[in-house]
Amino acid sequence: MSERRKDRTIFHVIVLPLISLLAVELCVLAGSLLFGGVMTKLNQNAQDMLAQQVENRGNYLMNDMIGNWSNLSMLSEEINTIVQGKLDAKQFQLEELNGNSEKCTGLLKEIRPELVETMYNKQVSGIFLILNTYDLEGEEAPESLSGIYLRDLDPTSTPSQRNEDILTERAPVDVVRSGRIATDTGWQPFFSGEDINQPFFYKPFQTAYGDERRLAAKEYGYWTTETYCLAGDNRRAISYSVPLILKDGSVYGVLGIELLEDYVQSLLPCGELMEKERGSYLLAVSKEGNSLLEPVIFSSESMTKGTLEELRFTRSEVNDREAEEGSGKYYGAVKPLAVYSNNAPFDSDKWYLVGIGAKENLFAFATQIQRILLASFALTMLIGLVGIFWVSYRLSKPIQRLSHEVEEAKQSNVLPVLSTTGIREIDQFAGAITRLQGEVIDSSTRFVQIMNMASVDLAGYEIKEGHDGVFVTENYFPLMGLEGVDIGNLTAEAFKRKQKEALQDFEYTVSEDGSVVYQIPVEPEGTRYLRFEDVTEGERQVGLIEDVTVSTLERMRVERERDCDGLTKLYARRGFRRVADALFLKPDKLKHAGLLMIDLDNLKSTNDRFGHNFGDMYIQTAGKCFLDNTPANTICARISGDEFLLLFYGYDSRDEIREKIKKLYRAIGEVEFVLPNGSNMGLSASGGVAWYPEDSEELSELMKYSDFAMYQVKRSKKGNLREFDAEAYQEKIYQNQSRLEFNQLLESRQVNYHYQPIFHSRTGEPYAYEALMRVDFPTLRSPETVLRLAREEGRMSDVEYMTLFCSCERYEKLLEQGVVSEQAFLFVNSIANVRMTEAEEREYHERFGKLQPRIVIEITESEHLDMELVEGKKSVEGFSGMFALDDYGSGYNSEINLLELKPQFVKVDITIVRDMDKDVNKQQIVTNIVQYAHKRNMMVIAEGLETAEEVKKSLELGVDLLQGYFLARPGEVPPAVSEEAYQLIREYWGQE
Amino acid sequence: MLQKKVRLLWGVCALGIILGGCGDKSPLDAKNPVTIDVWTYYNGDQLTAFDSLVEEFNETVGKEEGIIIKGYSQGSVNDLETNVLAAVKGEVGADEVPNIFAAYADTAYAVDQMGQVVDLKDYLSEEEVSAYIDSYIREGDFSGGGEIKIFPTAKSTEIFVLNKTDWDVFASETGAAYEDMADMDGLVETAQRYYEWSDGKTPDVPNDGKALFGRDAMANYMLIGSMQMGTEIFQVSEGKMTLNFDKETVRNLWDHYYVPFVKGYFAATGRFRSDDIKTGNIIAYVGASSGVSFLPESVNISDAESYPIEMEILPCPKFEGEDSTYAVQQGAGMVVTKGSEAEIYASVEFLKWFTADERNIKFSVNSGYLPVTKTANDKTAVMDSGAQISDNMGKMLSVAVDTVNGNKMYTTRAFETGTKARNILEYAMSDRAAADREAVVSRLASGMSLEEAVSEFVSDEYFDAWYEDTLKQLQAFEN
Repeated sequence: MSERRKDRTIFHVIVLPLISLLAVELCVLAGSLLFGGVMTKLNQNAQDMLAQQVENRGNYLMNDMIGNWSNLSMLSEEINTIVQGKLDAKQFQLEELNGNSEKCTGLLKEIRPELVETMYNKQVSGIFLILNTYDLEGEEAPESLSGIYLRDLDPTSTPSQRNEDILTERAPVDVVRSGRIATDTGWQPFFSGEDINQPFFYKPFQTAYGDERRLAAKEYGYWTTETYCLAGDNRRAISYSVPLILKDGSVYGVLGIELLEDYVQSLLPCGELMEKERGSYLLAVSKEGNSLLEPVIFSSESMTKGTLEELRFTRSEVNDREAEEGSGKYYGAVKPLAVYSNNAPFDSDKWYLVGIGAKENLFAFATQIQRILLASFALTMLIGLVGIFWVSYRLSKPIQRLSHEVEEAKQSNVLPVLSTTGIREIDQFAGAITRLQGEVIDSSTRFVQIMNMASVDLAGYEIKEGHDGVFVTENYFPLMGLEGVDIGNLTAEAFKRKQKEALQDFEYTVSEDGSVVYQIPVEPEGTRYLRFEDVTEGERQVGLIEDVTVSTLERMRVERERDCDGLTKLYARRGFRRVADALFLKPDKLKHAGLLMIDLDNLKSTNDRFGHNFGDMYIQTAGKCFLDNTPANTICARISGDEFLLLFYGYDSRDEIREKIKKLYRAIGEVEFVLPNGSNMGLSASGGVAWYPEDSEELSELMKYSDFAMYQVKRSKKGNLREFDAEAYQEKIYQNQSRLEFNQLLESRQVNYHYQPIFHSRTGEPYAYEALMRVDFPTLRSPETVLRLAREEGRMSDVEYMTLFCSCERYEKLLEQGVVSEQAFLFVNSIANVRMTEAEEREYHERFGKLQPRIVIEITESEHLDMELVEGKKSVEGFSGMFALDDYGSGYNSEINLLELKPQFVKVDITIVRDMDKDVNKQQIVTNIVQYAHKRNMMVIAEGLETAEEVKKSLELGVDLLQGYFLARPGEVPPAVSEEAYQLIREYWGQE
Repeated sequence: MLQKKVRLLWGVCALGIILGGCGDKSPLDAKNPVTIDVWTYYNGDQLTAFDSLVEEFNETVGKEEGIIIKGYSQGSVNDLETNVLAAVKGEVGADEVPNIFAAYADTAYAVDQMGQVVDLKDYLSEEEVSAYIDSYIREGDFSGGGEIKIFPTAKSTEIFVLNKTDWDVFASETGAAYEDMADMDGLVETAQRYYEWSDGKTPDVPNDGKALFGRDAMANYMLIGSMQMGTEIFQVSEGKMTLNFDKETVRNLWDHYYVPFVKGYFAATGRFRSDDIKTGNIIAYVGASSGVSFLPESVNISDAESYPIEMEILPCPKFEGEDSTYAVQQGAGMVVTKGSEAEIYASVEFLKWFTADERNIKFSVNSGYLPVTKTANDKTAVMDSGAQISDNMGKMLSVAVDTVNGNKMYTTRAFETGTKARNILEYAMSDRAAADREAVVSRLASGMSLEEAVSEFVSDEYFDAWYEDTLKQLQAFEN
């Protein structure tokens, strides 16, 4: 990385790597094909396929040659038998089987059908039998021989019954006449000398004739190694022939089969070798161990006879299944045909079937692939190169143009107008640069303009670390009032020293943002305010001086104005806070202080009656009065319309301050106005005082307290003065808290219910439970307070709703838990004069329909009953219709309530029950109630029973139901009756 | 620039349309040539002539139009028929049905019955059809409704072949003339004279007279002879044959073949009568004009003795009858089998080309067949064609063309068992004659006179028996 990159054009950066990449790719591809040996394999494959066909075809052919065609032993045997028979019968001498003797003709006539049959059976195109007993090389060598030579031109077709498809090539006239076998055009009655010299006769005959080994006849079998034509005929053929040998070893002729060249060719379908019949078959012989393959028969569609005959194949020395051709243009696959047994006389003739393919055809596929590959290589290379150059050109051209444009712009010193390249990223980049440059120019221009336009003078400097010089604006020192400094040759050190010297005598303030404002006296304007600010960024230190004289003066003026009330010229609220806050930071200066809040009385009515101008004058007068009649250090402020605050401070005691305030109030009392209607009017102001440090050490608290005190005056008697009363304040706070908590209670239903059992006076078993509200808030603890607040806040119906729903909800849970008796009633304290909405009642019924029959609505007697509402309660769907009248005997109109409500239960008020056992009057009242109730089927409940005596008395007086701490306290889960009370009840009734 | 390109584009389109239009409706594509297999029974000169024409076609018209003709010789007519039927029936090991095969009417009919033959009428204009000799075209009209199921390519008729060398000796000594053999009676008389003349050459050997005449195709003799006498043996209508084996007519045929045969005036020993000429058995015969190339050039009396001969060709002798102007029409035509439109089209293209006058004459003079069009079947046209014509061929064409032009050409209408029925006619009389002649020869050898030896065979009873027997055989094929 430390090496410096060479400076190269974008064109080179792209072109060279891409070309290398292309080259590597092509090399890999070429290499894989070359070294993978694909071509060789393809060629080998083609050769193998050719060789396989030759192998198969050769096997067929060999099968025919050995197993079928050359298998003449049966026919030979038959002929031998016939001849031997005739010899034995002395019909003729062996020597007579020569020339044109009648014996021959007779024999031939006899044998002809056998020959025809064999020819048909073997599916050969010809068969022949030649008779001779002379040595062909001896003196008596014959000139012509008798024999028969038949042909079937279509050996594969079904034989004709009348031998119509057979032609006679050679046969004596008599044989022709007798045989109904047609003669061919070249028919001759005998075999001439020309025929005799043909190898098909001469070779096997003479070899056997002269051989002393006396091998079996078939060993002398001979395949002609060249095609031949019979005299007078132009059809070429090969043949296989064996000598006819009698048992005594005498050779008397030759028997053979013939295969026409056409027929052999049809058995060698060269089309199977290669496609489009491009291959050729060659039946060939090599003689005497010679490797040259002498052609016997070609079978070819694609090659002319001339071409074929010029081909000379030799057996490959490397591979015995291959043959090489002289010109190298042809390939030969070789299949040896073992047609002779090893010791046979003609074994030196080695037969072969050769499959020939021109190499250009045989390897055409590989060659074609090679060509295609070469072409695609070249094409790929060409396309690749063109593509690379084109892409590189396309990429580098616009960038070059851009750089050229930028260069031009630089020289002509204008903002360059860059042409679009059509490449988004580059265009965005160029655009961004142009925009950036534009912005830079813009902002610097703007900055200079702003500098020039600025109403204040600006000056600055810059010091770079490591640089000796310093940049200073020309007006830098003059702005400080220092003339004649040569800034041209100023070093950083000298600059700093000079600056320090210049400023050391001046006053300065440090503002919140860290800048320093110096006050520099100058003639004749007075003071110049200079704001100094410097920033160090890395190696650079930049400083700026700003003449802030105007703004500073302006700010000072505004601050002043903001602190003051325009009407009274006293402090405004803000000014008061600023001054007072500063004072409160210094308790030693405050010592004892009193904060007096004054509210002008009657300002509103005055305004209404006499207009604002008069109102303003009223305020002005008051303000002036406050200012004039307080000690000088008193801070007077008007904080809103008719409210004033006066802070007396620096006194040793409250009394001193009280004196000052009294003095002020006296003065207030003396002020008089003449109203626009001519009558007089005094100044009246209500005031509240709070003390420092007694009431609080906080200014805001003192303000709150004095305000509280002042409002207490306002609510009682205007125009008076009052000191802050902490107790009253707390009470007020407490009430507010309770209200808050009450609202919270209703919102969150943070209410609990305890259930107190009501026992049956006879059994001591629970008869009913009364649901009692329990609240647990800091300031809100009793249900009475809740009810009071509800009444005050007009939330009675909410409380009613909450009571009915929550008490039943909890009770249901108790029922579920099985801790309350299912037969017991539930007494719910309903607010007499409040009724739930219809929707709520419906909801209630839906929710607690099951419980409703056992619910008793308890109405507190202390309230005036609105009977209409009470009747309404009765009509609530599912309501049991049972009421209990609570606190009977304590409220007013108790009797009327009893009459109107007609409750099922009457609860005797606790004041009557208390100490009932000791008070005969109370006993009388209870007796009356019991008497009244029982007559009307009402039950009487004594509540608040706390002693055994009270219980006992209740029992005596016939009270039906008992409730009280003595029996059981209320609980979230209602407790059982106390043992003591239970015993008492049992004992009482036991006594009876 | 763009406009130029557009104009060029339109030009190319237009050119394409014009060139496309030039292509006619040919379903062929020169780039993807269709291969047409043709099966024939040709051999020897005929095969050579056919192959060279096929080669010419493939290199010229075939190359242009996209047709490759491949000829396969099936060896003989019988092989061809067997193989074609095997292929059509789809037998195991059979080849694919060829596009074209050479066939006689019967085979064509059999294949047509299997629904494999194309009616060429749809592929030839009336003008084209009218160019061919009418009777040749009619041969392929199996239904009688004008269909063409056989395309005439090479036809032949029968000619009278004479060993002029030996005849001249006889004629000069007896004064016999060609005219003597113009009718059947004259032929038999001349044969008798020849027998007696040759018998007289060896006075010491009795009854060694030689036969003058033989016949190759006995069926033709019977069918044409009947026609000449006014009777059509096989009357065929819509593939059904009605037998018309008139006893009187048949007796006439008997008298003009069987009787002279058993007497030794006529003979047939070798496979073909040309073989008999070669071995000196006979000196004249009636045979197919197409066999002219097999005419012998010498006679081998024995294995050792032979001498060259000259041949003469004459018109066939006829029966005196109601309409003696009937001559046999034979030779196979070409049948086109069903295949793709391209294959049929290509097949017809080839056949039309093959039978165009020039080619038709060329094929004729090389193969011995007769031209099939009216204009080509003309002596002058043949002679003027410039083709090399051998002596015998010239003689044959001269006679045969006259025969075709001067006679009503007859061939049996195709019917299902036609070949078998024909074979009865072919062998019933000739086989009996050959067998009986052997009996006669052995009787003669035993010392009987000729009259005595043949008396049994020439009797009316003998004929009646043979007639009834043959009639019964033929009746089996009726309907």
